Amino acid sequence: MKRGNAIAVASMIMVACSTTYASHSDIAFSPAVPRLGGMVTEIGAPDGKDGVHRFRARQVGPFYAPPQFPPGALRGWRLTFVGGERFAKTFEVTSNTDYEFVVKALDGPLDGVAVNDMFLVEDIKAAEPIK
Amino acid sequence: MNFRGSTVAAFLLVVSSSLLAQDGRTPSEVVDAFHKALRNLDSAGALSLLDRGLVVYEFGIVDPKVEAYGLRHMPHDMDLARATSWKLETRRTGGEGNDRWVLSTYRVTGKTVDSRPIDHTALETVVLRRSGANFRIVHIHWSTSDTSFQAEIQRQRQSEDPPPAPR
Repeated sequence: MKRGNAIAVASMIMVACSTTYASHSDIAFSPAVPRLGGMVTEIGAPDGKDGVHRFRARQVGPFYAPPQFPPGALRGWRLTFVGGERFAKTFEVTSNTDYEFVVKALDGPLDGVAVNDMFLVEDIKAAEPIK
Repeated sequence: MNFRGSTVAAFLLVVSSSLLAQDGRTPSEVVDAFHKALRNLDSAGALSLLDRGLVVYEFGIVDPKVEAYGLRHMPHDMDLARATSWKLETRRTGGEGNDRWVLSTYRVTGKTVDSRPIDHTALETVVLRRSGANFRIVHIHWSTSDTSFQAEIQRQRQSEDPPPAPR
């Protein structure tokens, strides 16, 4: 995806996230970064180098976001597992379709990731400085 | 093992466990590190401080598993932490052995997305359990001194839940 399109998709997610995003309080807060949740549906084969770096997934939230991952728009986003054997381990998305991810290992390869493991994918580079 | 051997072994055990405790954070430091990770949008850092058996009670809403909290509500907590300032007002700690608790109150100030001021007291109970050299959070309970505020949170949190699956 071209950079302009990727920015447009990220902006759409940001706008969708900005609508009614409540937290501890009775008021809405803007999401600090665009983010989506996902669940692993299929594990890729080892790439012959240093492990598995590809898997398939479906989007599981937030519920106001588009129902599928935006193809190509998540490149460079941070992916963190919130469950499973790679709990609290972080990866960087190098490419994605609406159902498939290829990641770069920041904490090692994906070995140990299993179907139904949940993850967050966040555009951490979009974070504004703390006020 | 004779008596002298047993004594030496016991001494080494005490020394090594003491060193392990010094390597890890205290329960209060774990709680502070968790808040710092939320504010820094450090998802992995925040999750690494949580026990896999975590249960969160948040304004009447339950996250029964760490996955539920990490996926659905931790991001919200990061957004709040980013948009507000949490000043520690009081803290009490207790427990013994592997099980500890940290009770804190915070003055929370800031502004909403539409510039309304935020100024309330957040109450926090954190239960921690030692896992190896480190304490990890097994339970968090947040509430607020403002009852109407809490009721609104419950309503909004419930509205965020996905619709129940058809039977």
